Amino acid sequence: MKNLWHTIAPFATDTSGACAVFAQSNALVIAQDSNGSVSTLRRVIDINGGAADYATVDLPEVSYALGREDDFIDVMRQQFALANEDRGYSGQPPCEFIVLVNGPVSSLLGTDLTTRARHLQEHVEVPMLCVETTGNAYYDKGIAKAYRAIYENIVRPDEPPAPHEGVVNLLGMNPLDHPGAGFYRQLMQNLMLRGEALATDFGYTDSHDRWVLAPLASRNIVTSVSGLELARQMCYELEIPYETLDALSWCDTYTRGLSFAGAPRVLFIGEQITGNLVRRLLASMGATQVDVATFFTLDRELKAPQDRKLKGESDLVALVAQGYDLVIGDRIFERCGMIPDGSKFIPLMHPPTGFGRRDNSVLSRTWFELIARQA
Amino acid sequence: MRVLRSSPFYREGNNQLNSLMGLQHHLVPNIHALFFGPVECFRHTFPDLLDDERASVLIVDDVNASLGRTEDLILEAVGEIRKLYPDTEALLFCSACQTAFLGIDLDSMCQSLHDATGLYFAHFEANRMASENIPGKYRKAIPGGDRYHTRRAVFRTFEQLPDFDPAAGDGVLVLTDDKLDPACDLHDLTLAPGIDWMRSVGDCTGFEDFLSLASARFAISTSTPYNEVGEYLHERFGMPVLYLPTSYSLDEIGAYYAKLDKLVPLTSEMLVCRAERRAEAQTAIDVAFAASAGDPLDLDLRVIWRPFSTYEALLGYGFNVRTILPHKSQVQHKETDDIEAFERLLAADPEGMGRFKAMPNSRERTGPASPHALNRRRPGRFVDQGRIEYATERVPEETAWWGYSSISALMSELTRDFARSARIEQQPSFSPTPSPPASPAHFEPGTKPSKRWQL
Repeated sequence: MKNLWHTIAPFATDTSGACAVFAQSNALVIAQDSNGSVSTLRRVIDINGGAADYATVDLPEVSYALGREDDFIDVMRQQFALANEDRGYSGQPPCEFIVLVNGPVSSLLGTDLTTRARHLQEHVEVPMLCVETTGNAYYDKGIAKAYRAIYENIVRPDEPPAPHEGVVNLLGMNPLDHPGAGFYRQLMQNLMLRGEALATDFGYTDSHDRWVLAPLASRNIVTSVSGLELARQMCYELEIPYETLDALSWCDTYTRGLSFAGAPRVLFIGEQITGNLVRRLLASMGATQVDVATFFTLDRELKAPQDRKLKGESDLVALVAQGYDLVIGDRIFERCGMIPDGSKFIPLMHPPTGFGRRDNSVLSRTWFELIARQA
Repeated sequence: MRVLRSSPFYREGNNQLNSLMGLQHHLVPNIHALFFGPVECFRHTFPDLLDDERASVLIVDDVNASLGRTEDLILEAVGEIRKLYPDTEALLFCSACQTAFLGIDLDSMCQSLHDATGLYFAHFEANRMASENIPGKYRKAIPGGDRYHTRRAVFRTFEQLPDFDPAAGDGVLVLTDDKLDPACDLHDLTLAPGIDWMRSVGDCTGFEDFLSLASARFAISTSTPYNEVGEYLHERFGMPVLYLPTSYSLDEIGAYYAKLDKLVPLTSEMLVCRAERRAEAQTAIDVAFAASAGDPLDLDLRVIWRPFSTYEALLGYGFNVRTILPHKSQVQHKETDDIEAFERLLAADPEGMGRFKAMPNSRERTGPASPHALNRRRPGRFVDQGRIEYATERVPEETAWWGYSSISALMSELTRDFARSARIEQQPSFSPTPSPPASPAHFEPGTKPSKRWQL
């Protein structure tokens, strides 16, 4: 049955994705839902040492059912004051803006976040952003929605400015798809070596003061599928071209000189652009078949014919039963006993899948050396 | 800093360190828990159930929920679970906030499914929007929460039993998750005429075993989360229930026995056992006190349901208790069975105990400089330095005591701890992952475009 999960836990939702974009900002993220949503916010912000604060509105059912907007506004004003007080205690600057996100109930009830935000803005003196999450979609949709909100409310210029040569944006760079600082650091070093400079990474390390620089870039680099929608929008509106991470040649250093003893069949389970990158690099090592499967967005333009969108556990079970030599994915698949005995499993940390139980299995030269030895 | 592992009852009641759904360990074997609702609700709950073959999640997204397809999906899921786990004897439906707004008649559904399949069905709503679950001004004074409701939900399967008459009961039902240690006082109850058995919920080896608990003559709730079950059994079936939560006070246990004597005919054999146990407990207290040699004691009581009563009892025995770390939920839920002890301690030490009056993150908390500052940014909440050794995983073989035996067990642990002179390694204090350093590759334009915040 498609929606029934026995073994793997549900994946990170769009609320988590939206949080990941604002985690490094001096922002207050308020989920318009009960305190059950706090855990999803906390996992993203606190685990990554984020500067943002988070809160939920914590109101009883009657406030939702009867549409008592004043209750919501009162609670959020208190949350804002409390967040700033906490920040004062710990020496952090006060919140610079507030982000409203939906939860499952508020989404089901058709909450008008924009109107609520305008109402709240009359009482607080900081700008507001709204991200129409639902608590029912996965994290990549939330990241894409957060980017859309940022672009439409902050970034979109009245007139496209002249692009600055050698200036790039990173789209889709987020702690959920790229945990740890190593990959980002190497990416930045590569930009430096190429004589390029970064305008913004849309929240991976920066905040609104750099987001406004996005239209000045001459190129967008999309590092995960959640950044594709914004990249295409900027290409259409601002004529800023984009390329995906797997097309960049700097990653070739990861597999230089490495090769497989045989010609293994490989299955990659995870985010699509990372999967495409791994596919290209493993092909250079001699892998004859590298299939990419994902529970998340599978973009048609970027997919290979054999790539699969997984709908549920049964899809995954059927797929791994096809007898791949190597299966790459978050360690939770192995932990939950989903990898058949005949396949070797290579972990690659993906927090939205596996709760970010850190095992430091990230894309690196060392990781590819491990794969070469395992095959 | 000497620290007591909150033993021997580190899973006393409910481990607060895990999910609030209360199903991180199964209450009764062969019950399959089916959670249904949106993804977000189960993302943070299911990690605790990854090793549990008796739990599944049915994702009901907003579209299916709005179109009224929830019941159909549940029926389909039940069919699939029965195929995958044919020895399932009961199902517990667990829903979330979203379901509360849909008005699904889960009672009827459970009864219909029972009639159709012969299995037992129960349900509970983990509704964070119910007033009792909301921190702050909306919280009712009456304790509530999922950890109570899940237990009551499981017992509602008794309603599907054809014959249920407590008046004809021949045993004693002990309402606690834990298996009872063979040394537990409560075993003495079987010495009474007409009492053939005494079992706890934790002692059940299967669902049929659990259903047999319905033939109890009366129930004893030794674990605060089960108080609601006691109320339910009494109101619904007329079963007499005593509320005798675990205590480490000799006097309080004596008062408990006075209540028990009203329900259980006392024999001379039972009196002798009781006296012996009391003497053992007193000896254990004396030995532990001597072993302590006045050393200060810092207690981690985060998983003990009545931390203030425990603290008061240990102070009464003369131990040099320097700090206690109670769990915040004790204050949140205002557990009535610990309030009196707290009030007495507060009256004796207003400044020291005053910090436990407020809820965490409130303005009444101590400032950040205090080692006991409640700050969600600090790991371990109360932990400021050093490392507290405490057990976080339930050990399946671990058992629980009640009565004088609980004092003896606790004192034995204390005596061992003092004798070992455990040292706590100092660990560096937590610092968040540093942000990536500012890179020279960052573009700095001559003139920055102005921000346009436009909602």
